[in-house]
Parts: sequence; C-alpha cells; structure tokens
Amino acid sequence: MRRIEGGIVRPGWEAEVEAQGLVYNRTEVPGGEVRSYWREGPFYDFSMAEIERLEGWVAQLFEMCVAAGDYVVENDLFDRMRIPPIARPQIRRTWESEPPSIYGRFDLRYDGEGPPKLLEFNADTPTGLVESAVTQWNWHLFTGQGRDQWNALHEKLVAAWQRNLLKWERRTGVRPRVHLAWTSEETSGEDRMTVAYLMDTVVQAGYEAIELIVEDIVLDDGDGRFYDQQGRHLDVVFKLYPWEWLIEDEFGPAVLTDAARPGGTTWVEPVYKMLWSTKALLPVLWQLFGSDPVLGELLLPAYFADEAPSSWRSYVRKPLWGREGANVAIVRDGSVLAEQPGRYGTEGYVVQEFDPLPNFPGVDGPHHPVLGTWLVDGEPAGLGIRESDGLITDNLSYFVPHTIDFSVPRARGRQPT
Amino acid sequence: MAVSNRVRAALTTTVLATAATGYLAGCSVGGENDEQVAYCTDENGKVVDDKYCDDGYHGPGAGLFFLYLGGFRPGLPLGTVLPRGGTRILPTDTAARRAAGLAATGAVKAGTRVSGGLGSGIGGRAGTGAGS
Repeated sequence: MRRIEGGIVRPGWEAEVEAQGLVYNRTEVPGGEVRSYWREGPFYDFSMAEIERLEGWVAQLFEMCVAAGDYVVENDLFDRMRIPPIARPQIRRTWESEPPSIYGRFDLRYDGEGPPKLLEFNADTPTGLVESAVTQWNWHLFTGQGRDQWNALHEKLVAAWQRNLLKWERRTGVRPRVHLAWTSEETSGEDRMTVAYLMDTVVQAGYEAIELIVEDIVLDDGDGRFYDQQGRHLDVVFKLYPWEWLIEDEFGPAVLTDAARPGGTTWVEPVYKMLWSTKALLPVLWQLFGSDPVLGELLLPAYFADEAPSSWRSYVRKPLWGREGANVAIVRDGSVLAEQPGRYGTEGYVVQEFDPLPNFPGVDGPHHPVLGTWLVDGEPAGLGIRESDGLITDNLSYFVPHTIDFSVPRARGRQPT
Repeated sequence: MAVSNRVRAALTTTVLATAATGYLAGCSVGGENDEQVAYCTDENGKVVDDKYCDDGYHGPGAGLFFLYLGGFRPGLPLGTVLPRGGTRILPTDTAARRAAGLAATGAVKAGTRVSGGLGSGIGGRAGTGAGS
C-alpha cells in the first residue's frame, strides 16, 4: 500500500463527479471554507497479491461476525449489548430466517504490513457507496491509472438483489416491488444519491424500484400495514435510516409487528443488523476470538467500558450507537487527546485499544487513511478509502480513490522519424 | 480471482444521473413535511367527537361530518378549528378512507397519524446523518 501524490487531474473533474452523482462533494468546513470531499490527483495503490489477501481477511472477519451474532442470540446477551427489548423477538426471527440483506462495510486500520484491524462494522446504513462504486470506477477507467481496482460493487449489488428478491418471490408467490427510502432530514444529497444509485441496481436486477421519503411512509390504521402515498403496499423497503432510530419512532412498534406476520413488509437491511452496527460487537468479537493466534490478529482488544482492564491508560472510547465519529474520544496516558462532539453516549460506551491510524504524509501534511471494505450479500466486494488530517475519521474526511498495480508511465520520447 | 466488475465500462446509472441533475438544478423531492394526521370535524373544520365520523352514525347531522387529514399536531382537543387546506373525506366513502390510509369502516381515533410516524426526529436531534 502506498500513496501516490501526483496522479492525473482530469479537466473539469469537479463538475464531472457531481454530474455522476457526487452532488455532496462540496463540503463546508467549520469556518465557512468550502472544500472538495473527493480528492483528485492523489490515490492509493496496492499490489494484486495484497488485495487478494485483504479480500481473504474481510471474508474471515465476516464469518467471525456471524459467529458473534450466533453467540449473542444463543446466550441472550441483548441486555449487555443494550439492544432495546422491543426489537429482540424480531432480531431473533430474522437472524434465523435470513431475509434479504444487501450490503455492509467494515472500516479497517491497515498500513500495508500484516493483517488489517477491524475498527467497526457499518452493517445497517453504510454510505460512501456512490463514491466507491461509481465515482472512483469512472475515475479509474478515464485516467487509465492502475491495472485494476478492487471494485466489483456494481455487479455484485445487481446480483444480490436478483438472488434475494427471487428467493422472496418464491417464498411469497408475489413479485415484489422495491421501495427505497431516505430521510428528508438529510439535506446534503448524500442519502438521496445513495438511494438513487441503489435504485439503478434494483432496476438492473429486473425489479421495479420506487423512491420514497421515510417521512411519507403511510401506516394504514385499518390493516396495520405500510403503504406509500399512492396507496401501494410496501413489499420490500430498503431504508437508509438506522434501526435504532426507527424503533423509537411513533410507527416503530407497528413496523416490528407488521414485519413479523405473513405478507408484512420486508425491511432491508434486516433488524438483526443491530447486532453488528452497534459498537458492542467489538468486545463480543474480542471475547470470542481475541486469544486466537490468527483470528485475534484481525481485531483490536475491546471491552465494554465497565469491564476495561484497570491498567488501560490509552484507548479509544466509542459510544455504542454513535455515527460518523461523533462522541469518539482518544484517551492517551489517562487524559483525553482528542474528542469529537456529539450527543451519543447515554446508552453506554465500549473502549478499544488505541492503535493510531497509519500516516502516509504528503507535501500538504499527514494523511490517515481508513479502508472501507464492502461486503455485498455476505461477500467481499470492493474498497473505498477515506483519509483525514487527524486521527478520527469523521464526516469531514476526504475520499481518495485507489488502484491495483499502478506503474509510473514512461515519459513519452520523440518518435523516430 | 477477479476483484472488479467484469465489464470494464462506465456504469449505466440512469436513476443516479437523473437524480444528480435534478438535485444540482435545485429541484428537491420531499423537502416539505408530508405528515398526515386525521380528525373528525364538522363542516366548519371544528374537531368533534370521533363517533360522528363512524360510517355507521345515522344521528343528527349525519352527512355533515368529515374525516379531515392534514399536517396537524396529534392531541388537539375537541372544539379546535383546524386550518383549511387538508383533505376532507366522507366517513361513508370506503374507498377514499382506504386510499388515505384509514380503516375502511368504523370510527377513527382523533389524532390518528397515517404518515410522518417514521423519520424526522432522532436524526435531527443527534446532529449527524443517517448513514455511517
């Protein structure tokens, strides 16, 4: 893994990436300055052998998460994980029945040496998909940099819808239409574009895709079922809206009740994703695999905050249900080194060993990358890298594309005449 | 082992490109608050007891009461006059009731919410996006 500083800069790239869907590229930072979230020019490069090893590790991590889910369900650890009681029956049911699940993203610490370390699993509402699947793929094709890119996202997403919806159709005897919902609270355009892109993959899988606003979802007072504003039943809904918010909303209990009965709405991602999208997954994984000489290498030591070893002086503290780095604190030698603001944490914290992100410095200063490795239908499917100037990757980080087996083009000499 | 899309060509992303164009042109979808809450009202939009909007009600004034839907707050007391601009449905109009997300027959509890019961709240309060 290396960071190439002086890559090709495409003329008009800013308008191009926006027109391709990255409408949230311009980011206003505190102080009012507007900057580009997409980095044009620099990129990371990997060898194919390295990507294949990463792919193997990601598959391994996913198996470990499945085992952790089994462990939580079988040992009824929902209290410990602070999973609300109302969601538990449906979590158990979906964990067994495996309704459609499309995608997720592991965030990994990786420096090119040895195995990566799992930082967290964005299992329920991962974003960063448009830039990973579309923007950087088009960049790769256009610039011709690198022999390849770890990016099978598009084809695997289409295949994932096909497989899951066909299974749904065979089970119910109904050809489902798929509603894809985003919350109008999110105004940057990111959620809407994520949903629009996923609609493309649904359509290419051969199914009808309908855009929907979460706030417009209708609960029929009579039959207790869910509809859109045109009165069409919601067969399958992809919701870019986290379960821990949804179950606290007014219709939350009705969502769970309806989903449990035959003919009810199928929600994607399924509610069992709460087992993985909480940071409480991290101490459970460590408890199960921390002492394994091979699998333990993929993890950082992690504990529920009230079980942390008293000798720990340096660690990262993460709220169980935090998002985008909010309320994450880095504690070094007993004092807080860096802390992100936010309103999470009342539900409890986990602590994870502090293993600083690697630095790939450039002329403009330090760059700390996090590898976002995608899973589609349970299989490794691609990579998106975000880098930050600081050690916490938050919603002000940059997206940096990547290549496989990049070689510096030879300078063009004059052709012999 | 292939690690990328087998078709090495620009992706067909019609929905995404169209949404992006619309967004950049400033056309938004769903920016307005579309929540729908139902009350039983008289012909002047005054909230009355739920029983008058039971389709089985045949007492005095029958035919002059309406199920009235709009972006109202739940929990409004009897006698509140609701603003114009909502949707008026005759309690006996089974099809219209069903289309609005209400039970086809019977009384409708005052302040019944048919949409807007998902979303909105917690994300705004937490100050971060719904994605991660």
